[in-house]
Amino acid sequence: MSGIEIGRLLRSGTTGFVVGCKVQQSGAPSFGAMVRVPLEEGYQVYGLIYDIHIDDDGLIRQLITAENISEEVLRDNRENRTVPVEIGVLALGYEENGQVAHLLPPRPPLSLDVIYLCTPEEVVRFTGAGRLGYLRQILRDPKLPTDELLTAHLRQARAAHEAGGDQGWFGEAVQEVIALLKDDRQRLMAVLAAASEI
Amino acid sequence: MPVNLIDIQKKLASFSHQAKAHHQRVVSRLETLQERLLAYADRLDEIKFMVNHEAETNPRLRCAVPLDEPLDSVIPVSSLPERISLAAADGSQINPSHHARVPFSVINVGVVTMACGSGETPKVITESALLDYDTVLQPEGGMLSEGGVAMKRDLRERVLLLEVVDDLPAPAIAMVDGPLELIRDPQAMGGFESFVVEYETILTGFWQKGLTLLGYIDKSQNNLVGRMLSMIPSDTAEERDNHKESDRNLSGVRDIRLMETLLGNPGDRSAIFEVYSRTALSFRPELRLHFFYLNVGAPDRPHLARVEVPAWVAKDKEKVALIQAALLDQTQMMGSRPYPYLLHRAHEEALISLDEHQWVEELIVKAFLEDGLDVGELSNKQFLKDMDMKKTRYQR
Repeated sequence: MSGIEIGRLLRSGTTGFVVGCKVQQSGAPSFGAMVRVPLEEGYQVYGLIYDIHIDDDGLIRQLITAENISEEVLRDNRENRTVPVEIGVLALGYEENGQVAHLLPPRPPLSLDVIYLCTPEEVVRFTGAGRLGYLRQILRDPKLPTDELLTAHLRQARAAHEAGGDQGWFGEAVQEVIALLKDDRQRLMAVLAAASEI
Repeated sequence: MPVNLIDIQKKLASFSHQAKAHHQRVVSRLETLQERLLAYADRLDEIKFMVNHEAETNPRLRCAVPLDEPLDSVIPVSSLPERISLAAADGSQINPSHHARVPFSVINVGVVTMACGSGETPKVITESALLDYDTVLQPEGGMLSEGGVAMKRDLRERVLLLEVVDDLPAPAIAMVDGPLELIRDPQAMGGFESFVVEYETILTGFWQKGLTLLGYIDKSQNNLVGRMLSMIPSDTAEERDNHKESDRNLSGVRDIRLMETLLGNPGDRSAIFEVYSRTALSFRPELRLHFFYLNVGAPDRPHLARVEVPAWVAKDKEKVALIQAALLDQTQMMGSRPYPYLLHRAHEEALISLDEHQWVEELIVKAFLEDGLDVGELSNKQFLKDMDMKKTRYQR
């Protein structure tokens, strides 16, 4: 399997994990993108980026008070100084021995495991397997920006499916979201309003 | 609670009163010194004569001597060239301790280089050295002092800087944090003379290659110019009668206070002075240390740094102008807290954290155990100190 390496695992739990990467690596991942963490032979965890976070420090705060920042200082801070970008990932499911499961992973990734951005083919394989059960994970956590996250994910997954010749996946996904949120009209309307922009 | 705040509170009024009285004395002395500085601004030969005369009776004399510019000179900053190379070095150390499980010392030096105007990423070089066991535990039984470690660190900083700056495109400036002058308490450490010889060799390396070297001192406590002005005889008979007393009283004013009123604009520098001291004079003339003051603050908020340079730099006005422009540029990068960006970065790279200290100690302990050596224990004092730092529930 191939893919763009975006960083290594800082900390993890059953429902999600946090990835650290250098600033120059952070050009690759974006909000709503799918990632995977190969753990052992035949087993890997899939997730969705819900937060990209950059911490400050004393020097950064001081540099901000200066009138202008030279290119050399900019590059020094982005490339030499160890200020990692932290990427929050929501666990969506896993793959074991070729079987995709839209359930929380039985074992979370470990410290310093490498995280890859999913290719369009991998997005299609994961989201096209089963009956879109992984959407539950996205809608479950009320602290997540669900509307925006779901929209970003559906946009990416729709493009991957349609590029592979599957024009019907997006409609099925929207129907599944409606079914999952049928008892929460307020959130459903918000999600559909966001999804209508795709 | 470890500090009895009631006791502190009782003392605050008199403490503040003392501070106020001290401040008033300093202001009065400052006025006198400013008057003398202006009165003798162009009388450089007279001042040099007075210093030489004083040195005849005072072998421990330490003061400033003017180079070739009027004392009240204010030299504005010139523009920075489009391309200039900078290198900064800083170091940190783990001092050997009787209380540790094993006696050891580590020197960590960081050098950062920046090709200003190139748009390139600065380069970072770090060098870590575990000092020889025989150096840390000396044959006669003593342990290497903190001053000795600091001196070795200073020398290593400058050696690495010399290696790095030699490869940079000209014009290039090498800088260290703190004075270029080796100021240590000779009684506190042995072998000071051999350090001075080694240091002279390093400085000679910079000089022979024509490299620009400087030491940057923030919030300088130095009063060498004030001491020099204290030697000037007073105009009034009363003061002349009490000349020795008034000299001593004038020496407590920091030079940055004296220069602050002159150097009004960012980038302004003072006249250049030579350091007159027994150690400074032991160097060959080309290497002797000089200094000037530089305003790196904002238009309405002056902030003076002291810049030390060797003689071959001090006497080359183009090099001094380049230093002035480069330091102003570097310090302005830090916004409201002017300090050379690159020196701060070198400090970051050199700094040994407490965790790293512990990792190194564990590595050494492991190596000792694998070699069948006995490893001591933490002293009880250190053990209890560490335990105190972790206390949570039993604080009073």
